[in-house]
Amino acid sequence: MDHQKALEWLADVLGVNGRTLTIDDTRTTVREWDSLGSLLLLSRLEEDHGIVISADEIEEMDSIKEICDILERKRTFG
Amino acid sequence: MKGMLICGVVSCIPTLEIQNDRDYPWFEPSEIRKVTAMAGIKSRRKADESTCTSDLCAAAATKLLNNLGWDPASVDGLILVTQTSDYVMPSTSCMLQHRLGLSQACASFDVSLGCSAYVYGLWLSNSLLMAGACHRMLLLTGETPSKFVNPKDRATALLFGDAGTATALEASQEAMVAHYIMMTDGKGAADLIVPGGGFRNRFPQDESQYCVAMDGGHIFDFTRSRVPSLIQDMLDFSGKEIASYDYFVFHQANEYLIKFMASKAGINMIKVPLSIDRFGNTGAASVPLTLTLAGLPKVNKEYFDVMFLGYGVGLSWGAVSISVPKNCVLDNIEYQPVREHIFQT
Repeated sequence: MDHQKALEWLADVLGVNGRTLTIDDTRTTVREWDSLGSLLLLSRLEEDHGIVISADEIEEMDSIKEICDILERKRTFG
Repeated sequence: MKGMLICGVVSCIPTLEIQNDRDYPWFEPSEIRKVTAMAGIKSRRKADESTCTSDLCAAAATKLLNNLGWDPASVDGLILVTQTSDYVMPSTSCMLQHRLGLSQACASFDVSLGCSAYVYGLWLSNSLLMAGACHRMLLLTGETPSKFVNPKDRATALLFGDAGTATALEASQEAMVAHYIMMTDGKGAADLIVPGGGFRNRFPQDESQYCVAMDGGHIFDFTRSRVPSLIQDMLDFSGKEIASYDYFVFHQANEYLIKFMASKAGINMIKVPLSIDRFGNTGAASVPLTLTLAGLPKVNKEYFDVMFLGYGVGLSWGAVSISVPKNCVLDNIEYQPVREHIFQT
């Protein structure tokens, strides 16, 4: 899987400007990942990658790595 | 159901325009951009302190009666569907009966529903007209969410707008068959709620309890999971195809979701009018407001086939498949305050 592409995609969805996301980032370090950010993630996961997860599932996630793992399982950027 | 003709629809909006990117300096521009990207809301209208749902609906109804040339005394049924009635009691519809100069022989009552207001209101009106209980009805749907939204709440502050609408309905043997699907799941009641001010929590100390609280994720999930199947169920029930419809008028809660659901169902966006970018989520008013702003397609047909879709607070959702005659009067006005009609307590 191309982690870099996944991270670029995540930065675009969450509207992260001026810095690069890393696999070690979390909700605490990415302030753009708020409740609205979660909704944007839900919608873009389905729209861009055909991945359907619930709002509760995404709320339980805390790290960028967990999102990348989902994308990896789907091999979206592989 | 047979027997109901939509004769006209008028919507009424307040004059004060709120722009999300201009009027919320306490939110960061990036947050506002996210709301715009997700919900598609750029501006909304806001009623002033003294203007209620009844004022907006009364102005719409007065214009509608005038446009149609209907004698107010000929109306024998009035339904107001709203979540923002003027008083806990009496029913706002009773005050509107008097204000609009309707006959005392007019059944008037309120229904407490929001996002699904229009589809439920049409279903209820059609039932009464088909049964012969009423002959001419006014269906009023409206909302002033600006009065229950906390302007500092990032989850809701940028979403809602105020509006009122009036729809004139008449019993008619010539009317085409309309199809209705009405649904409810009260398990999600807490996902969109004003917890204080009712009789379960009459005077809460915490003032935020008087404001709307929304679990955006759950509402998003609800919409995404229920509405596509609702569209398919209505197609099956009505025996029509996507191509048969001239319009699909969705409740205006989220532009992204509307486009997503339309795409999933194979509906061309040319058939999906939108008002959310300019007027936000106007709750009970959103579907008829969107219809009046769109106008009927410029095609030479006797009837236009329309699917109305409402979904949200309750949780309550439903769909109507109905034929709108080409001479149906559609109009939109801005509210001009008429102070002498305000009831003094």
